[in-house]
Amino acid sequence: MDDRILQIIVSAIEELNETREEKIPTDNVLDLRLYGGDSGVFESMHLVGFLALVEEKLEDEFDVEVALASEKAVSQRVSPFSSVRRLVGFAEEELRLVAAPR
Amino acid sequence: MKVMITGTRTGIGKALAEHLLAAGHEVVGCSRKPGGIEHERYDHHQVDLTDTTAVKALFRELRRTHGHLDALINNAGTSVMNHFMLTPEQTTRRLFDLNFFAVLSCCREAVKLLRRSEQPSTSIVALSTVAVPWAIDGQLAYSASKAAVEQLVRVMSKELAEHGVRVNGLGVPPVSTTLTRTVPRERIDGLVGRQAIKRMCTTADLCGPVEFLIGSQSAFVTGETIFLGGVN
Repeated sequence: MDDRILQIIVSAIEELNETREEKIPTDNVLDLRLYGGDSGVFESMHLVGFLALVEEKLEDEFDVEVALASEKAVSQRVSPFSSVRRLVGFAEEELRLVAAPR
Repeated sequence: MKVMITGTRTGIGKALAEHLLAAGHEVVGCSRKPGGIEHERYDHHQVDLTDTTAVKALFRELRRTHGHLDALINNAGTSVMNHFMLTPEQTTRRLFDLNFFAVLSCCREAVKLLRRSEQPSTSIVALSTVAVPWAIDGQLAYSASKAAVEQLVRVMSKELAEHGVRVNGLGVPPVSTTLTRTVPRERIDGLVGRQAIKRMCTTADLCGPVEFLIGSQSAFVTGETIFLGGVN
């Protein structure tokens, strides 16, 4: 797993925490449920804002154009946005795709 | 305000850019070819808006150089006037690429910069046409693409309200630009004759409504497409 992706996700959460009353815990962050179920920390609107922030940070860190709203994201049985662990894996794959020669 | 306008090389986009610059705003413009506006507060970018990766790269560059946007005006567009039976499918697809899909990708990327604005309410404006409510024959592809834009305005206004972004449309009757120069005079006269205000729309007629839609006076207006000239 690419530590830089995890760091980016943590920094996005920390950035959002600056304006949130109810802070999102960043300890044991890989297992943090982002969306869905009883424990998801984001409503759908906030998830959109969070993913936009992650997308920007990924682009800056890896110097690529990447969209987290890919066909693959919406077609997966378990959403890649459901937990941090899944999001890291999904972002790794998307970055590999945009880095591959076309 | 820092305003981005697509399609600023000629016509409506250029006129809007010049008007907003004269009003003291900062303007970011773009077109496929080099721009023609020289102004200290104007920043031009050459880009093919139908290339999603290029659009993402442009907005990433804007984030680096400008930090934020206060408004996006989706003006770039094209038209085709032909009987649908004589319009090649590829022509229609290319038209949708610019008139609809490019608007969608510009909005998607602009939202990230609009969220960084310090304005209490930021704004997206998209241009539409009388060809939608009038269902003008010979303009199926064009009017269908703009009908899609009007629906984008309605839905996006709901999806972006919580992000503090308003989304509105401006429906224009025929304006004297490169887009209408190939339309026969009698056809233009016929369309102008259907308007409540029976004169040709000018680019100056768009400036006030656009300024209203991107400004704080329309802070409670979203999801609407306002038509000029009295077409409904």
